[in-house]
Amino acid sequence: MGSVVINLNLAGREVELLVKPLATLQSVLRNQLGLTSVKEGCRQGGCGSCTVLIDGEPMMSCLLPVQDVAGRTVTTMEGLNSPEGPTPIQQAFLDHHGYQCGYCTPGMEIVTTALLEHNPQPTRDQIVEALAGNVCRCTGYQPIVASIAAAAASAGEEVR
Amino acid sequence: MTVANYFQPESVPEAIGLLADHGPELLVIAGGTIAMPLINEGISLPSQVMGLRRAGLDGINLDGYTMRIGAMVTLTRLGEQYHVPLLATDAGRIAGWSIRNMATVGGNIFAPPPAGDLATALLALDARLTISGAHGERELALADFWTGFMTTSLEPDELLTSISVPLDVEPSAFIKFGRKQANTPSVVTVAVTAGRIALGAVGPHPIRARQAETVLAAGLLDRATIATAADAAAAECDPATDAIATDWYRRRMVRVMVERALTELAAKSKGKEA
Amino acid sequence: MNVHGTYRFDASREIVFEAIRDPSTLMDVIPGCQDVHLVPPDNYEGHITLRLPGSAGSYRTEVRLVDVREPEHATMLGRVEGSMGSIAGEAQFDLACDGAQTLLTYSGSAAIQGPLARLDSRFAESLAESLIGQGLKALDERLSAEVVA
Repeated sequence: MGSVVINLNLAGREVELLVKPLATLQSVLRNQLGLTSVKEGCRQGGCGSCTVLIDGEPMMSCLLPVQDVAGRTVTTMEGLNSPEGPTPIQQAFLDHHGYQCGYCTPGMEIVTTALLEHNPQPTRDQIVEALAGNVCRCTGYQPIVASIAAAAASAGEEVR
Repeated sequence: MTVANYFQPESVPEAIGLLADHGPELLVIAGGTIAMPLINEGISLPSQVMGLRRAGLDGINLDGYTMRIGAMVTLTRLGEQYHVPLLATDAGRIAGWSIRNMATVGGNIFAPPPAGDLATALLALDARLTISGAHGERELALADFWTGFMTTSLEPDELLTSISVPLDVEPSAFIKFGRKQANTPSVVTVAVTAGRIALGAVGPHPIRARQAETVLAAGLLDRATIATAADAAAAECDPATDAIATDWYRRRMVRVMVERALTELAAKSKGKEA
Repeated sequence: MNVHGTYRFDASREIVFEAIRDPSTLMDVIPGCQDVHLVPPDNYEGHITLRLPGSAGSYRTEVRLVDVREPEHATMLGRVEGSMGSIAGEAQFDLACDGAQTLLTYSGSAAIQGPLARLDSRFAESLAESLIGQGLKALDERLSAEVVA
């Protein structure tokens, strides 16, 4: 078969790629497209640092053959960044010390984005449960939970 | 060895045709949560791989008596099927959100211990499997499917296509006991319903605790019966030692968790009567 | 990795021993066995197919019987090879009379090489014991069927 051509919707743009059979979405995003917010932490689906959104749902890109998401919308942090400055979620992580080394942060913020989309006012338990697949070595998790609670609260204020 | 071909069949006949063409060298992957880690680590080196995400195996059908779940239904989607609370609760406890969006009902049946939590609940529900192959379709009970550690009665030219569970729902209880609250392999998994006790992570595959079930059948669901049943379950399981837990600890936890699950079941049953 | 176990057959030692040495019996009872040839006097070559979670393939198998003392003992030197690596080692089995039954005791050890070696050896051990157990059970059923027939 050799390499195949597939299309993805990435950050609102249609992208056409030449990929090797069974290449993972992680390797394509990170190595072929230079989207380094997608980390390579374990390649086992255990750490969550490779988490991306597929049509808005979080998945482990290290376990996804890129061909399986052809035609779907793929979201990484690069697709959520704003030229005007930190997004509300990113600002909340800044304000509440939600990162130290920053390695787990893209994965955490991706999950946060999906969580607040599904459930704009999550309880603390729901936040913790949503983060079950994401590992952090630095913060001890409390600042991350606080950041997400703050992001939810401030979004709630804007709505009101 | 790099992968020469990744097939994405768009129907079950196409998938079965590929199995027939490529024989034992064709690696079949479902959600990828078991196979991809092995491939990423270079432990599994397939040259021909078939992914089932497009094969039309992700339907859920209700016919009044049974719920027929396509083998490629994800755990997340199963977690939304509240008509069978045991599955909805169980599926929602496995791994984490991202993995649940990828892992499949069918794939969980092939997961080696200590994994296979959903399969444990399916076993408690007395699930039936539909298997398709070049020679047609066959059905068998999940309880009869596993032949040993990591082996099943699936023939080389066959695919598991759907899993059926009864819809007449009785009270149930499910406990997954791991070393963490979530996203963790089990020390012990217990699923109980309708007089059946299924145990995960304490055998070469999920097992029914038949001696314990006999104890339950003989008496009321009171403290003494529950304790005796839990003793029986602990005696009849066959746990192994691994990085998660030792065999003796698993056996002790079977005793504890079966008692807890049956106690919970008794409370629910009383609630139902009252 | 190490394996060991026992199995009780409802047949005499002579019958069990002969069955274990017969290629067409092995073909029927070894799980996933695709083919088996005897290269006289004691070399067996064949292929086993296993579909395991996460890996699939055909495994070439060679077993040589040495130290054969019919009907009570044989030592087997063997090798199983596939794309995931190889398992090579030695096993022995002993058959003891127990009234009309035969008690088979086996034990063996093998070295795992290649990518497979990176997995915890308990996977290979559990799988090997499971396959051996299935094979012995199939042999038992076949011998019982022959007696009835």
